[in-house]
Amino acid sequence: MIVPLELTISKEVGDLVRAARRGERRAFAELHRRYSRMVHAVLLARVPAQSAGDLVQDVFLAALERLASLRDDDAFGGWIAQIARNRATDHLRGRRETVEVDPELPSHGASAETSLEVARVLAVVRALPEAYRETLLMRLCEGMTGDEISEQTGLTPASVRVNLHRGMRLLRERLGLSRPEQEEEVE
Amino acid sequence: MSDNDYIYDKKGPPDPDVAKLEGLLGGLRFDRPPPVPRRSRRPFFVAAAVAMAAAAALILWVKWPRAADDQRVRAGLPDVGGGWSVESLAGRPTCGDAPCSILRPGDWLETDGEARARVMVADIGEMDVQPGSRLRLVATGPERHHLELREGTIDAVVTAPPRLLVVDTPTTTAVDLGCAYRLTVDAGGRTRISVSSGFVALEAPGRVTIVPAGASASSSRGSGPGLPVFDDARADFIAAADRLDADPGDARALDTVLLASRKRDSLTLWHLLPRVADGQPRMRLIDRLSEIRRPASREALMRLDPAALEEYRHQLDTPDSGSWQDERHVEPPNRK
Repeated sequence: MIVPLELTISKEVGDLVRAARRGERRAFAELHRRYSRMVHAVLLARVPAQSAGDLVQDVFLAALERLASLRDDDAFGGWIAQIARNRATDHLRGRRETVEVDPELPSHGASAETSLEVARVLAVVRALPEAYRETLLMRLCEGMTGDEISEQTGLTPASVRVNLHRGMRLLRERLGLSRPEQEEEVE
Repeated sequence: MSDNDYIYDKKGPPDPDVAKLEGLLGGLRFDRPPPVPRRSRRPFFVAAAVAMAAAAALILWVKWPRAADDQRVRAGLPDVGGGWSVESLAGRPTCGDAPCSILRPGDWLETDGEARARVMVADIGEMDVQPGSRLRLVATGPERHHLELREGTIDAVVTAPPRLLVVDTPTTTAVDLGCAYRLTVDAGGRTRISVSSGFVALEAPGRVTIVPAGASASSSRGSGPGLPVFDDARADFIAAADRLDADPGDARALDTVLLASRKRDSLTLWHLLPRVADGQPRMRLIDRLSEIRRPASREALMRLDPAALEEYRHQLDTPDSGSWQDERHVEPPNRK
């Protein structure tokens, strides 16, 4: 008998968490597939890009080890996001006091000019209020929609919308892009 | 304002700035397989399945569901068939003569002297309707939600792009620019708005008043939206601004406003520019405003050049000029 796997993997995050807690690797893999982009955005809001990717994996492994301590299985997204923030803090504290040369530069593909522009944009994003920078990176870097951000972080769609709009407004101002009031022309 | 919400749902014509940033930052997108968990006391399913393969003869293959297939449920909103949910907070709010639990387009929600209600404003916020109020839902849709407050008080907390929610009163239209506010209409139709977060625009033909957080403004029959005044301004400034609302030619009130104004009260002074008479009164206003922030062109302000006025408004609303904006970030309700 052949059983399509998608029929046996629950789409409910609580079920996935319980399955992962029992040791089911595919449930853990599905949690990683769903939440890794969100976790990456949370980390990227704080640490250099070259470190963020590795830290995503650390965060998921740490989460797997601590699943027993998660009280509300349905709140996995918010819980792992906090693990990511703590992990980022630990990472920054543990860095040696030497200057990382071009830590934002992607390892391949991008021109030097593009890499510098990416670094500049990231620096501005990281200076935004926490609620805005994480949400903006989820949207602009990870390509998540507002609904996806809401689903994974536990924020309401309305909160996500506010974070995106206000964050984008600040980003425009600080990057010298089009004026925010262009969004508010009288109809 | 652009009506598309590309930043939220990636639909509609792309915002050029957003698209540019997506292009730049998208190269950093995370795309790695899951890590291999360290050995634990519980055997993983795969290991168990391998051990059981000979006995079970069960073959599994992996096909990850596409993200687009996932069902996304709008958080916390029951399906009320195009209306807005109404919760009774006290007494008996009514629609028609019946207790009101859903407010549909065309319905009037009424509260007597004891009743209070909470209205879920689509998916963008909520509004508490205080005793003695009459509120009508004119229309609701993806591009705009339109209410009419005939009388009474509403406290609104709205988290939405600008201009998604408008509330008509007998003397003005309050246009939500993403905020929390209290809007009151008395029996004579006089409207007063106090904003606690974000901005609200009061609009009537030929006149607009921008009311930021920490400020209030009134609107009366025959005079339209009044001057916005910060609630923590000096008492004599507030009283003089009220008199100028009623009579922009009140010279003594203008004297008081000029003398009693702080840097931040440039909000009120800027709004006064088109309301006072040309010549000496306007020149005195510009003199005072110039002490706060020198304009690019006094002459352009004197003749009320629209572009110069708008540019100057932005220059005044900066931290070193006594920002009009509330620096607090108010988290909207975060309930599902």
